[in-house]
Amino acid sequence: MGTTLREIIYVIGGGIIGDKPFKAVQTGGPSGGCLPASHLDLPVDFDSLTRVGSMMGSGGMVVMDEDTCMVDVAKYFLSFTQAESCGKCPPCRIGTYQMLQIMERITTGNGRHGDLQRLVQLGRMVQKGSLCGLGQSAPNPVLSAIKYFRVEFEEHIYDNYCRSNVCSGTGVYIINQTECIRCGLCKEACAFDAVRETYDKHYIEKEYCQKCKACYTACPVEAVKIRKQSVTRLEEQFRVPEEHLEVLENRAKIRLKDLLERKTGKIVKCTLSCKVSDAIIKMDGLDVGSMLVFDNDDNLVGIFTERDAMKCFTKGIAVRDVPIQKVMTKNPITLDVSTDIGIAVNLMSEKKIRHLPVTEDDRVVGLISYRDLVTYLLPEVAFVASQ
Amino acid sequence: MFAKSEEIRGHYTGMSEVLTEGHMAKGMLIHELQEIQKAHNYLPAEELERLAERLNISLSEVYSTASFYKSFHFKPRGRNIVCVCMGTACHVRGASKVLDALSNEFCIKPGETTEDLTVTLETVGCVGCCGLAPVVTVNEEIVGEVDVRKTADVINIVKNRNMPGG
Repeated sequence: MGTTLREIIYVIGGGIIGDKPFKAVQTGGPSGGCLPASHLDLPVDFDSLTRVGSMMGSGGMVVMDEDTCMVDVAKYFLSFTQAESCGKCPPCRIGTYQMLQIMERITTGNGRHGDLQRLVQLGRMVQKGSLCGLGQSAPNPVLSAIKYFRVEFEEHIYDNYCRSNVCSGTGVYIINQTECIRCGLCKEACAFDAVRETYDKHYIEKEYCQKCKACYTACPVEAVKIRKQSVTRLEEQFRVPEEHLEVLENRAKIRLKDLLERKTGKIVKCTLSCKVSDAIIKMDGLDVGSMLVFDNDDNLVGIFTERDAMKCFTKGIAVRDVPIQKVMTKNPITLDVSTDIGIAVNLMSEKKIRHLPVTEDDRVVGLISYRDLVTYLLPEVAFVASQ
Repeated sequence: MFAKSEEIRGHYTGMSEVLTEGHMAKGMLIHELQEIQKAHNYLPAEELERLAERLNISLSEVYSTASFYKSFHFKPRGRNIVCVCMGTACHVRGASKVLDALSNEFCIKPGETTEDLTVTLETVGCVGCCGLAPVVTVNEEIVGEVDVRKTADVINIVKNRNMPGG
């Protein structure tokens, strides 16, 4: 009691197999949830664990490295507690089932915007409305995974990508031509006729690929790569060859956090009751293109941009009288501060948005605009174009 | 009143003074079910009907008790029970891949038995050997650290058990 997690894992436990980097440790059974590396110096006792949202439980610990998908693990724990639910109270019986349905969609590449908010909402409802300890702790793994590993959830939902290559149905499958030894095992393994062979290469036909991972598992030299959609788009648009793509990927591994550090200026915000005309005047005065709207509990509830102002004009809204609540875009898309900018670029192009609030631990910590991204990427694009 | 009232009384000895016939009959239910399962390897429908009559309990009550417990089976089970552990440690070490491989090999889904009653494939929450993850038990025999090679070993163990003289 009182020994730190770091000591237990590395000194007593002997460290991680293969010396792989630590990702998370799960304490106290399925309801305990996972703790990230930032909590490695936490002493193991009842109070400290409860304070960070976990629990001691049976005292067991499972350590996870980069080959574990946190979204998959959260789904796994939830499926266990959902199956064990006795069914007496509706919040637990129906709530856990619905949460599981959402998690199933996310892990098979069918996540939708709004899923994270729904999961948090359902999770809190199940916790409050359940009669027994099972229901009260069943949403813990999902809620704590969203809190500490939000970036992985967002990668699954917005970029259809699983960074640990665990979830089937995610990612874009490519055969690396320099590593491929032309053995043909991938073609044998593919049940969907997606792996094709020509006289000089084996390649994967994207329309047929079901992302089942059969070829990925079958390849003896690991030449089948699972890529992010945002990166393959770059390849298609700029015709960057496979080898240069890796270089570009590494140089573009900057996160939104790094971009925010280069920005000056605070977030421009207002409350729900602010009048539209006042908002527009403020935005014009500060020469910004968007305004974030917060409720009384300081939660982000909406965004008001130049486009929304245009809509007000065409609809003839009485801007001096109407509160911004009525015309703002509700539930804006946000991204976690540790997300790759590649995902942000992809998302903003696809959804036609130019301003993206950035969150860290449930708080809004900044705003990224399309201009910020382009300013950073311009030298990179120029470099690629010159090659 | 009961066909084997002495048998029931004998089972309860001293307590039979205090308990009613009805209570004693209901109390024997699980014990009787376990005996039937031990003899037949599952709970045949005809045996359950006969049990209901002997103890003067409704058939629905017999089924409602039997179906509550996972250890009572209503279909015949295979000679070899292959059980894949799906606990946390085993899960992160690839238990689902092992389960898929075994499921494909025997052509049955988890929880089912092969047609020739040789293998039943099951999953369990945790065997308790997390240091050996992923774990597969074959008839109480524990096979730890199951990778591709060991999965083939497991399949061979089962196939050998089914050979005459094995």
